[in-house]
Amino acid sequence: MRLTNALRKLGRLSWAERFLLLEATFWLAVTRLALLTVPFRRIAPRLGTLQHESAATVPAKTRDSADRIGWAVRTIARRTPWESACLAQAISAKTMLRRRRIHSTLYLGVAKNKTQPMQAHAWLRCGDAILTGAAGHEQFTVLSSFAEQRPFAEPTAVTEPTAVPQTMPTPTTDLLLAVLNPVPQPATADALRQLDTAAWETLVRAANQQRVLTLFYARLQELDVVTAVPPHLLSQMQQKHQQTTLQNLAIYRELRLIAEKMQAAEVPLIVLKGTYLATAVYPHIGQRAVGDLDLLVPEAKVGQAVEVMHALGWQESQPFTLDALRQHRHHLPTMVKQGVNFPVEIHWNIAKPPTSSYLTPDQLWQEVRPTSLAGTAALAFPHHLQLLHLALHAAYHHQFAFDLRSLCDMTLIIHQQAEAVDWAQFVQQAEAWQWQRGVYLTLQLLQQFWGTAVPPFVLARLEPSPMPTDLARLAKEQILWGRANNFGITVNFSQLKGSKSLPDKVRFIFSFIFPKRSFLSSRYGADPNSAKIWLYYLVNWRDLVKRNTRRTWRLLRGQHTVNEAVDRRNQLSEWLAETK
Amino acid sequence: MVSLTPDSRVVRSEEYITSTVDNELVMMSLEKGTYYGLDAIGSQIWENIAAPTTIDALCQKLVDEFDVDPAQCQADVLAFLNELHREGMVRALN
Repeated sequence: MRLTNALRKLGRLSWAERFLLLEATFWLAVTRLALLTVPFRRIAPRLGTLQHESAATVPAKTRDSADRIGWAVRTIARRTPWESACLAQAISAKTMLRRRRIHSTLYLGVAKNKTQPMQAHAWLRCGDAILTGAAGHEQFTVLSSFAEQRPFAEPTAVTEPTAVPQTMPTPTTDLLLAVLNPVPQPATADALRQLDTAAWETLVRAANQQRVLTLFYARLQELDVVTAVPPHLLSQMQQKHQQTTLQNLAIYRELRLIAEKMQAAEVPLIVLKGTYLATAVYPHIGQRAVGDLDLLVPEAKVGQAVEVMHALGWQESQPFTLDALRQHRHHLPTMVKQGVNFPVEIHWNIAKPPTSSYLTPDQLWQEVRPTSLAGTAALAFPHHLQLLHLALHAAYHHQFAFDLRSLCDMTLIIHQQAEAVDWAQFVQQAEAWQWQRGVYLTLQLLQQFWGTAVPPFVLARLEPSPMPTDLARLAKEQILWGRANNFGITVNFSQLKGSKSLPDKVRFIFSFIFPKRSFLSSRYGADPNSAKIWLYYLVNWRDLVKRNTRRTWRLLRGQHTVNEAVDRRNQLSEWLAETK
Repeated sequence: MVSLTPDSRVVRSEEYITSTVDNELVMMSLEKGTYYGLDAIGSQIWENIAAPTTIDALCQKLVDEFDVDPAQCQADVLAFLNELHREGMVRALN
């Protein structure tokens, strides 16, 4: 019954503490492995400068963090099925401190007394606290100490928001939505002319955060309010427009090179998402930033497509085993090429499991049509499939925790080519693929944001019954809260926090820590049937810790807005998981 | 490479993808992967040589549109097109 007791205790801990224990488990395992396989002289240089000591006192806040880490390492070290001796504990705790940019000193000492052979001991000190190996350390004579000599370098690339996530004020987001309306509204122009510099700055920041800055700029031109924009913001937008234009030209060049070779190899090619939209739907390629080149090939020709890509100098960012990948993904690992600053993704389906349960890739090929994109002949989906693909992306792949861009794409398609959309087919496909809920909710947002002209029969056919009244509000809040803020919150993490009972949580954590081999293969590319796959459990743990601790954990410390976002995501994904 | 003359018939190369930024034409070479920029007048000329045109006819068009001295126009256009020709951006037809 010890396990149940331990679980019950675990249940009483805060989330931060549970993550800390998980992290400590991981580092104790890694350290143990390292000490077994790597000679200590190779490990020692990584512990800090030899015969150096860290400060004798540290600020109270640092001391708190250090105490918690010491507690986690000591707690776990008592329970690991493998041996977690003093040295492993000290190294693990030091590693965890270092990840938080906290200095510490690791001591190695020996004690000799007459009756026993020489004994060695290791302990770790941070400020005036001994975090691990405290018991009896005074009896040992210090032989070596290791400590960080210099302050930690600031991280060079800060990709995550460091500030507390801020919800954009409602007047800003409402105005942003108004500007993005494909039908220019005179009232919007009037409202914009009233703005002071600070309000403009907030608005431009919101547009940038939603990744629609270049479209926003184009709409300002249509509203004829460019002269009212503060010069520094105007030049920022002009630059972004120019940069997007040049970048997209480069993307279309690669598309041309790839399309020609694919044609020669008789691999048909559907151009997906931004690369299609930027030239086929937007009046100027500079209005729609494209992150990567998304292409779809027949499932049976993925191997040939990869060969073509290799011949053109593209390489997958990680190895893969196609069969394992198929169970979890709908595209290959991103491919990169030297000297090219965007990746290519080769898809065989538009939806990933389980959203693709009712969609076989063959169905996608029945309706494709030839198109010319920046002079390149390729295939593309008809409008109703474009719309379904965008709704799928916003609703099912991202639970609306993304940004406004795909919704702007959708409203523009409908605004420009409403008659060209085969709405009957649209509804039929959404039903056949069981995407009614996500598609309906997305259309509702379009109407709410821009009064987008979706035919009433479409909504009537797709409307789930009962339709919860507050879901549209939740989805709106989720989008406007911003992709960057949502970034650290994975679906997995949301589910974990949302699962109700302790057994549920334990089961979930278990599946998280010990995923299927095919899942690991889809993530890391190793053959799921080789012995090597077991090694990737370790790599996956490291990545779990890496991905989740810093971000999620900081977020976890009771930040109100974050908890709200997690709850929103849970409600949305639970609702979306049901079919009509 | 032979220099272009007023009688030369020229046509722009199809090996470029183009767009505009602030009234300038930006072009990406499919072969080399490098960018080129043409100013407003340059873009105008580029638009006018989408189909094969003699340089004389092109100059006539520009003179009508921009109110410039014909001799000056021809000299400038020749110099400009020769430069594009050297870059492989226009082809001379016989």
